[in-house]
Amino acid sequence: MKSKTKHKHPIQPDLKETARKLSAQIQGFYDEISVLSKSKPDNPLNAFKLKLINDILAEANTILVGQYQPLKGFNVFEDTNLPTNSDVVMVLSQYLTRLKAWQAANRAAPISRISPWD
Amino acid sequence: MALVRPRLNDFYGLPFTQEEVDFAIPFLDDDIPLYVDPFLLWKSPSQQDQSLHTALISSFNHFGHLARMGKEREALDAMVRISECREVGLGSARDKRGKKIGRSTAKEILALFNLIPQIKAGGLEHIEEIQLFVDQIGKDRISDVTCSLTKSFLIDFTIDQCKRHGVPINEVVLDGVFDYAGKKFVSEKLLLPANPNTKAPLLLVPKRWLRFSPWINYDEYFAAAHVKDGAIPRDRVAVLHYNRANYGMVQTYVRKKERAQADCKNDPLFKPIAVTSAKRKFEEIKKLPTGKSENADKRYEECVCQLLASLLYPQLDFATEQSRTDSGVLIRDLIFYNNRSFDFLKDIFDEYGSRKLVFELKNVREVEREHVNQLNRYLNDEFGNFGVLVTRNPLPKHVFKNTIDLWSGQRRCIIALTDVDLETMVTVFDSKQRLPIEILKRAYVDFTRKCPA
Repeated sequence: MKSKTKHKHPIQPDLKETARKLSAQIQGFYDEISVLSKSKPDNPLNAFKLKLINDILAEANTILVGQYQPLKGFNVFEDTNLPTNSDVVMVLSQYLTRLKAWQAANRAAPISRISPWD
Repeated sequence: MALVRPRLNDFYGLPFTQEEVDFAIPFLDDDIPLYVDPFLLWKSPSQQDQSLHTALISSFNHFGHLARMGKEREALDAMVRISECREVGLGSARDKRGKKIGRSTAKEILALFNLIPQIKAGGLEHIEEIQLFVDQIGKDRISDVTCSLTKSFLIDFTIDQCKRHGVPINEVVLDGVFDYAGKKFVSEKLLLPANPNTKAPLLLVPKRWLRFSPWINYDEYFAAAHVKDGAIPRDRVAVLHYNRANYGMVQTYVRKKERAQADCKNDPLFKPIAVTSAKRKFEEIKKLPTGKSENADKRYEECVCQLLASLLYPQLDFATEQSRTDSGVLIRDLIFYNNRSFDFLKDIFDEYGSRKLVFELKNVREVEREHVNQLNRYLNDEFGNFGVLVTRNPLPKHVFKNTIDLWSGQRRCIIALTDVDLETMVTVFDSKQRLPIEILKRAYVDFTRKCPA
């Protein structure tokens, strides 16, 4: 009962898992697109890659709210704008930074490591 | 308002591009600048095409046989009759009304069946050979003879394709259909598409049969034929006479061409320029000064025309390049057929009635209001209310505002493509990660976002 009063909005464990997963995926995309961006920064990204990245960003947006929002006014890439490799790298790096900040702030507190049956 | 270089599908508003269909889309007031090459039927892996070639040769040799059997008049009539096939509209006759050969030329052709022992004994193996024996016989004749003698197949092909693509067909009477079994010409009442202007029936021709010139042709034979002692005469008629007396030469040439059949490919109706060439063209555009100094405007127009026709293919078929004068100024336009083959093209067709896309070229440092108005005046029922200004730099604020006002007041959509857009188009043309037409779409979407809600 005590623990309930201490943590009014406890972070659900699956949300942390999601953040960990997203962080790894965005890092993967970041690494891949960085390679492309080094040789052809102004090449528009193809629709297939862009859709995959947008799906991940949309998922990340559900976690990165309020102070953790990576870029004001940005939600996902618009396909018709034909974002370039360098655009995508820049945005992904912002998402990575904010995801790290979110994870740091929501690191498991010692109390939450105690199982409910302890 | 007359359509600019109308094609059959444009007239009926059918949304297919040349790339998507198996036949060459006929122009309504012009011929398709390609020819049927019977060698493509001969070398085709399809048994159907091979059989058609066999039937073609057999029918042609039959006329020679008739002449030799004393039915020269009948053979002559047939030869004249098959020498022109108006319904297919191939070649370079502007008014789509080619002429038949004269009886004297027909006589010369039939004389080959008596004159040359090998032909007398076994007939011709390739009808293209007659170009090497008879004057006045060129690629257009070979193509017409082929079409005339395969007309029955072309009729079936046309009906099938029309059903598949929804091309309207009407009941027509077609004369001069060669009946292979009865070896005679008959008239048939058929359901075929017709030229809406002239009401003349049209036959569609498979793209796979078309070439700019036949694989076996006089010019190449003349250039390649070589006799050690220089016995080959150099003028055309003398060469033809020489060939009649030296059939072995012709046979050797034909065998050589048969051996090289793997290189014989049909020619596409439009061949986009290569990526390297596109890059070179754009580099040239970038270096060109604005204005008219050193004819920079002309060169700009030429380069942009070649570039855009290739970059926007196959989503947009290039129709024509045309010049017009507005307020004493010569203006160059590029016109494309809008076949709604891309979501954005469908949007502008529905929204602005854009049946054809007009691109106006302006090699100026800064587009002025008058330039926008010139294009605006040109937009009409045929082009719809959508136009593109291809220019060097982004529109100045006040000119851009003018385009927004035109949209607000008259629902006219005039967008600009700049050097930067062209560069992106060339980049994606090279990388293949995107379609160059998506850059045009981006310019359109950008414009619509800035229009008042």
